[in-house]
Amino acid sequence: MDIIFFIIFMTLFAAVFSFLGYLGYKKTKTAEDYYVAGRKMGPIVIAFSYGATFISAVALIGFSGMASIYGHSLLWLAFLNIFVGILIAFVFYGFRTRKMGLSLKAVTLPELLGNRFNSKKLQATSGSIIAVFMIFYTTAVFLAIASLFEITFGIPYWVCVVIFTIVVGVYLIVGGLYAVMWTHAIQGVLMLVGMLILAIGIYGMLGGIGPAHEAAGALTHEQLKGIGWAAVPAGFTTLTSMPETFSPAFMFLLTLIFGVGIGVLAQPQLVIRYLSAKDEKSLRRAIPYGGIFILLMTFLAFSVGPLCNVLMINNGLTYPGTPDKVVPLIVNELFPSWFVILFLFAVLSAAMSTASALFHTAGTSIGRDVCEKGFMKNCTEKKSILITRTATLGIVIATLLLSLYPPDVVAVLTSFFFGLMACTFLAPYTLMLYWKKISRAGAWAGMLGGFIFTMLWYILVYFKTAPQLIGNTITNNYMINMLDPIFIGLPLSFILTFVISKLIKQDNSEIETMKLAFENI
Amino acid sequence: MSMIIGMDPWVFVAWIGTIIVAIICVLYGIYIEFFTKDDEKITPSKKKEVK
Repeated sequence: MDIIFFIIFMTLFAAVFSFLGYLGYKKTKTAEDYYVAGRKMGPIVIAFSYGATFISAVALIGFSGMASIYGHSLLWLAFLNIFVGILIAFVFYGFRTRKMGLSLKAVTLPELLGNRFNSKKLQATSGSIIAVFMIFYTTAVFLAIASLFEITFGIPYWVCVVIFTIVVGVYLIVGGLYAVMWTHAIQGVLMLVGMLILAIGIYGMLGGIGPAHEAAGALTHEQLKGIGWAAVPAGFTTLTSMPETFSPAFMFLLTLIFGVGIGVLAQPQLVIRYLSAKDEKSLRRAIPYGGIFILLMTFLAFSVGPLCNVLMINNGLTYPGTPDKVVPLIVNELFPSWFVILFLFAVLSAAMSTASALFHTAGTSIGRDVCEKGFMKNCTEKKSILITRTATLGIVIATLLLSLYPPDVVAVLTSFFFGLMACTFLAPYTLMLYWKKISRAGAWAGMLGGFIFTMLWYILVYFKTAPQLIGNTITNNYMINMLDPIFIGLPLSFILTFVISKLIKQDNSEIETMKLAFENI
Repeated sequence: MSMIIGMDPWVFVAWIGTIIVAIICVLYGIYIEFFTKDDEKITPSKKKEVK
């Protein structure tokens, strides 16, 4: 029965998205159409596309599972997701990025950097960094969702991976950003419906908000161990209280909350959403839709995570081993079968929307930023689209192969994608928007300094990655081991950009591009 | 420690803060929709690109 539902829903999914891909193809006449949807997108599509790109299956399933262990303290991340991820991002970055992108005729973050500093090498280098790490990130998104479908429907893992990759790949390569953003709107609605029903169902089973939180807060460490928790994190108090200050649990939350909460500002796949807006008012009008969308996603996901423990105790269930399986377990065991299917497709939507945005950004980075701008001269619009379509196909195939034969390093690389992008790009990107005297040398220094520092930190120090990459960490102090590199790498990148810009000033060509960049601001 | 809606004060601040910031987003949208003019006209630069 389940497999029949899967086939029906998947066929419906593929048909609708292929149709949107076809519409996108018909509408794509110029390179700008393919890269930034002709800069014609309205507020609702921008908001849903931004939200659906931002919130992946990892955020819904993985982070709500984290909340089942670390409790409602994770709601600080939901707060930052809206405050930084929507308000600060749109007001302080979105409007200026769009205006500058228009003045400099840029359609990607690397192109914005390259044109702003009059350096094709800068564009090609940043495009390469983005493409390489995005392939791993996308692979991890597919790994998670294919495993979930394998467990639920009993379909072989490789079949899931192949089907998902083909569906996303077809509408993306054919329809460009038009298709990506339109499908995001549909996927976003499905995600909203799924999360709303899940939250209403769980709070309903526990008697409302107050009683549910009180029940979660009253659980003792012994009760939690009793349902199968391997260990209670050191410093953990209760599911509705903050952990002890500077304990390992506190440091873990701090690193997660700030790594993801601040890291969102420099995500290349999100920057493209600003560039696709038809006017500034559309971006401004996207803010309320975006705020509500994120509220109904991460706020609800992090709110229900801890409550799953109460439901497990009340219903005699045992902890499923890893946090990722907590919400799927509750949905499978306590919700009607129609909702199980709906929820799975909501999670699939979250995965597909993020994956399609990443494919598009990575393909554009290779096609536009590295190949076209790095090696080719006088490229026509048709040729530009063809190069990027070919590059995107290459990225899709590479992701498919990596997903079918995933090396262990995939999960590790994913965990630092947000932090790495922030430490590499946030300083030059921010200063480029607000400081007229930033120089090309400063941008190079900030970008490479942040990138190299972050990579070294993850390889040598960070507790989640260093043991898997080199066998151990170079220090045993957990306060240092658990610190996200964003706390050091980001200030370092800002300082390097500023100091080097002061030491090595702009040349005449940079001054000209700076004037061009600020023409509309 | 006193609890608010079953949460400790710091967790409650995050909970209510998330809701408040979402409301601010909505109020911002209402302000933009009904109290501002649609006066922006920006076009791609006509200046020659620097090579």
